[in-house]
This record gives sequence, structure tokens and C-alpha cells, in this order.
Amino acid sequence: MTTATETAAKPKGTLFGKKERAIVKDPVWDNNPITLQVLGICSALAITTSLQPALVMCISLTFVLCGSNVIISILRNFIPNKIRIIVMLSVISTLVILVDQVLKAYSYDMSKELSVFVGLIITNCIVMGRAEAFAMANKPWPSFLDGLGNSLGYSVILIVVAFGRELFGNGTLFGFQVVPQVAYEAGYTNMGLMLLPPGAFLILGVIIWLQRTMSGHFED
Amino acid sequence: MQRKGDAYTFVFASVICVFCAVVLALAATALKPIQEKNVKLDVTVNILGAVGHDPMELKKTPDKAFELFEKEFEIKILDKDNAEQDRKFMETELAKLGYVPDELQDLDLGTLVRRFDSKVGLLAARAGQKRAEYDPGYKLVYVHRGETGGVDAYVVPIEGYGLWDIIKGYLALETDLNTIKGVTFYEHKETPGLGARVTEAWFQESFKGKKILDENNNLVSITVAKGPTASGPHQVDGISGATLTGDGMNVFMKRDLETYEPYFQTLRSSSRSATR
Amino acid sequence: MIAEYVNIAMKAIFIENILLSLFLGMCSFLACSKKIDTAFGLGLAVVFVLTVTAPVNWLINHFLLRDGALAWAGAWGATVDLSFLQFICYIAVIAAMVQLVEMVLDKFFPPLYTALGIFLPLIAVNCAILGTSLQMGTKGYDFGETCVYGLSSGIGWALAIVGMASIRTKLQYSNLPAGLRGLGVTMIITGLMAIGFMTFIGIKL
Repeated sequence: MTTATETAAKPKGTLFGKKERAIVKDPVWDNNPITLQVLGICSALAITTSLQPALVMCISLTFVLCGSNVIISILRNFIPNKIRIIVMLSVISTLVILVDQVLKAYSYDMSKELSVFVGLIITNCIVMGRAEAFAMANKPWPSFLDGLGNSLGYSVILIVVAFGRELFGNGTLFGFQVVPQVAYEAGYTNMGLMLLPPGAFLILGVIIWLQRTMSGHFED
Repeated sequence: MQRKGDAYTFVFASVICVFCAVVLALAATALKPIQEKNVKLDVTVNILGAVGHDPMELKKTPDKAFELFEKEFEIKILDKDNAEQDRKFMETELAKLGYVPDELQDLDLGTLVRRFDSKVGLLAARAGQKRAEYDPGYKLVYVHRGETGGVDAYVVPIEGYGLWDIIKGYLALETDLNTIKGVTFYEHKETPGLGARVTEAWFQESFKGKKILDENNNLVSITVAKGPTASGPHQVDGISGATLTGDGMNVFMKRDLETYEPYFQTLRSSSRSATR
Repeated sequence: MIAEYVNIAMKAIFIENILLSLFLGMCSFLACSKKIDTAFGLGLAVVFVLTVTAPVNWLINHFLLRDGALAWAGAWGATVDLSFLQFICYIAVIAAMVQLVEMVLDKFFPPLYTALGIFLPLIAVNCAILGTSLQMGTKGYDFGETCVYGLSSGIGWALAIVGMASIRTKLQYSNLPAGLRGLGVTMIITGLMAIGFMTFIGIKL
């Protein structure tokens, strides 16, 4: 999914100067919203027991984040400073409710599985954080790209966590059995801990460790 | 930015509010029919699943599922005294609240009862009665007819708390109203990989052929054992690591079967006298 | 009645800890758990805001939003279903409440205000607050139960963050691999704490 979104955006080549490309690429690795900016962790943990809901969550967040960034950016010169937080929240919640309603209509099973976590995109700090830090000060197109880049960075981590949890916890990927029956007969068992909350924390902790070691970003 | 007056702030806030509300109202109204159809499909497919159809297959073809349900099932409404009722009372009561009578007539029984249930408190308050006195306690029995046209099974809804939240399901009984024909559990929020395995086929299969009555025809319900240690005709294997889910299920399965038991008794005695 | 409330409270604090088993409020949990003082202050603020917003949102949902809720306003209200506005109303209430709490504290309890000061605005986007409001809907609590649930969810959250802060203070003296320092090890410790809290599952009161 990540590559598909990327290539879909590329044909608009004229709008993709070096700077624009950096806006998209930067948050995917060097300034990843989850592992480095420490934003949007809640949902990264709650819905990653298997790949499918994680993917739906990524798509929903991409829509909300790009949408809110563009809208806030268009409105940025009109929003009175005093009420900017609540205006942002209204725009974001409107988009989130739209996503929720569409999911309920066209992917009912998925919306049952994600339950309250769709609503919690509203308080996903990535959305608020990017609106405040980027969209309030930039034109719509760069804001859109910033939204796209950050959602990609978020999606990468989400998919990796979900991949690990579903594979080790259930022996499946996207619901298809990948660990062969032979392995179970030889004494292999699924690791139930992976599906429970602690498993999510542990896996994400290790991913952060790896990512930081590779990208060379350290806290003291 | 010069426009920083309070008046501007108010106007801006109101414009945003109105705009958001309009967008959302439009979306909600436009998508409502599809959402309601989804809920209905979910219920229908699971009732069909309880008598042995494949729910996943049926979900892909909603129209076929509705058609099949229409063809094979007859829905009965029982009140709290287990007397059979028709839909008239619910329609007239709901019409009092401002629902359009024609639209109510088009609703299927399941949806009608759900809507009526959600308004019972309100209706009771209108009638100046306590909810317990007013509520006719409607419940549904889905009578399944096999290919020969004779009654083949009775399906009743069961629901209650597992470990975390409500588990919903349907239980199908053979015509002796004792042997279990099938079970489906569909809505739940149990621990993934542990309690959530109630939706797996092997668990639901294991209910088949179990009995809910003891030798003296008293209701004993059916229990989920602690782990894979089931014994006897009233017990099924539990899921390792999900004892509490099973405990919860034992409670609500028994409770729900008890509410239907008086009705089942009359059915049993009438069928016994008919065969005699 | 009392037993019911105690049960809800125990469940919300220990068994279904809003942070450790529902993952809500992670961002501020990670950001503000470096020192015990700040962790305690933020924990207190969350308890406070949760205790106020959960019941208020319950009232809003009950009398304005849910299917048929507007019946008190007249005959037309019985068929109106505004539940799709739930998210936006809840978040507006939370933002407004946080602002209000800030003003009230500033006016009447200045010491508490200076202690909590910088954390209060942060709370508006703490998903633990919105999460609790949404959870009380799916769990079908009544008004009294919601009050208890709001309070005890807050206590559970505060307990987790204060615990975390104490561990991290100790951790400053340990020699960790560079990449693991900070966020990485915090995640792993949170995982271990979650395992600890899981042992409460199954306690029936």
C-alpha cells in the first residue's frame, strides 16, 4: 500500500522539486512520527494484532491527516488565533466522523473490529501535531505532502508491528496461515503474549531500538 | 492578520460549526440505509450460520442471504408470558412517537423489535408507567424450515458478558428442543488469540449434538469446561487460557435458555401429544 | 449498589487499566514520565478532568445525541438520531472543560494551578479522556457508574504514570545501549508493567 500511494502521487512531477520530495521522505525514516517524534503511539499499539485492521487504520489516518493538513492550510490566514485549537479539532473530528460513517457503510466488519479507535484518530497527536506545526505555516500543497509523508512513516511502523504480532501470535498473515502445519506438529506453538497488550509494547520497543540504532538518533 | 475582533471570532466559529454540521448530517443521512443493511446482514447471516450455512460465503452475496433467510425462516414474537404476539402493538406504539406508519410496515421483524426495544423506556414514560410494567418483554424465536417444509430447528438469540464485553450469538435447537443443532458467536471484544477464539469453527462445532436437558427433562443448559476437559453431554471443551470467557458464557447461556424454557416446554408437550 | 461501584472502580484501575491494556494516553505518558513531580502533577490533572468530563459527556449523549434522546424537547424529538455527532461533541466538551478547569483553578486554587499549569492544555488531546467518554458509551453505564468509571480510569492512568516515572528515575543510573535509551526502553518497561497488571485479570469482587 505504501508504494502504491507513492507512485500514485509521482506523476504530478512538476510539483515535486527536491524540497517537496524531502517533505515526503523525511518523516518516513529520518524523522519518523512514531519512533522519533513520539506522536500517535496509542493507535499504533491498539489495532495491530493483525495486518488487516492495521492497514485500514493507515488508510483512514492518511485520509484524515492529508485532509486536515490541506483544510487547515487553506484556512490558516482566517483562523483567529484564540480559537485555533478548537477549530482544528472541529475540522479533524469532521473528517474522522466521515471516515467512521464510510467504514460503517462499506466495511462493517472492519468498523466493528476497530470500534472506538477510529474515533480516537481525533486525538491522535500526529494529526494535531502536524496541523499546528506545519499546516498553520505552509501552503496547501506542501501541507498535503507533509501529511502524506507523515502518514507513510506512521503506516510503515504500524505494518511492521502488525506483521510481527500476527505472524508470531497467530501464525497467519492477512488471515492466511503461513506457519506450516508441520511446524506445529514438531512442537511449535503460537506466542499468545504477542497478541496481548504487553506484546505490543515489547515489539514496538525493539523496533524503536533498531530504528534509532540504524538512523543514528539518540537520546541522552 | 488584522481581523482579530471578537465579532470576527464569533462569526468564524459559527461558520465552521454550521459547515461541519451540514457536511456530517448529509453524510450520515446518505449512508444510513447502507449501514442499516449491514447490521441486518450481520444478524441474518449469523442466524443462517446457526443452522449450518456458511456465514462467510453468505456475507459475500447479501441479496442471496436475505432471500435464503426469507425462504427458510419464520419469525415468531413472544411476550414475557411466552404468548405469541404479532407486530401490530409495536407499530402503533412506535407511530405514537412520530415514526411514519408506512415505513414501519416495511421494516423486517428483527429491526422492528430492535427499534421498539430502544424506545421502550421512552414509551413507558409517555404512558406514565414504570418500564418493567410497560415493557411487553418481546423476544424472538426463529423457526427454521428444512427442504421438506417441516419445522427443522428453533433458533434463539443468546448474549451476555464474557470477560471484557458483551458476546452475541445464536443457538439453534433440533425439533426435540433439547439437542443443539448449531451455535454462532459473532460480536465480541474478547482477548485476541484467547477468548476471541469463540468465533473459531472448532469451538462452535463442538456444541453440536450436546443436550440442554437432563434425564428428567430439567433444563441444565450447557457449560464450557475449563480447558479441553469436557465430559458428558452437557459440556464442551473450553479454550485454554480463556476460562473467564467460558465462565461468562455459562452464565448467559443458562439465563437466556431459562427465559425461553417455558415456551419450549409447551412446544415439547404439544409435539408429544401429537405423536401419541 | 456499592459493590457494583467498587467492582467498576477496581476493573478500571487495575484490570482494564486505561493505559496499560487499552493503550490510551500514551503520548503524554511517554513525554511526561521523566520526573516523579511532573508525572504526579499530570496524573492529578487527568484524574480531575476525567472526573468532570465523563459525566458531562454522559449527560450530553443521554439528553441530546443518542437515538430518541431529544424526546424531552417535544414529539418530533423521538425519531431523531444525532449519534453521528458524538465525536465532535465529546471533543468540544473536553476542550471547553479543560479551558474551564484552567480558569477556575487559576481563580480559586492558585497553588494547584501553578502546579498543574502547563499540563492542563495538553490534556485536551490526551486520548485517555476521549477514550473514556467513548468507552462509557459502549459499556452502557448509567450516570452513577459513569462518575465512578471516570474517576477510577483517571486514578488508573495516574498510577501507571507515577509508577513509570519512579522506574525511569532509577534507570538514569544504568548503562543502556545508545539506541535503547529514552523511548525504546520506556516502551519495553511499559510492556513489563502491563504483564504485571495482567495478573489482576480474573479477580472477582
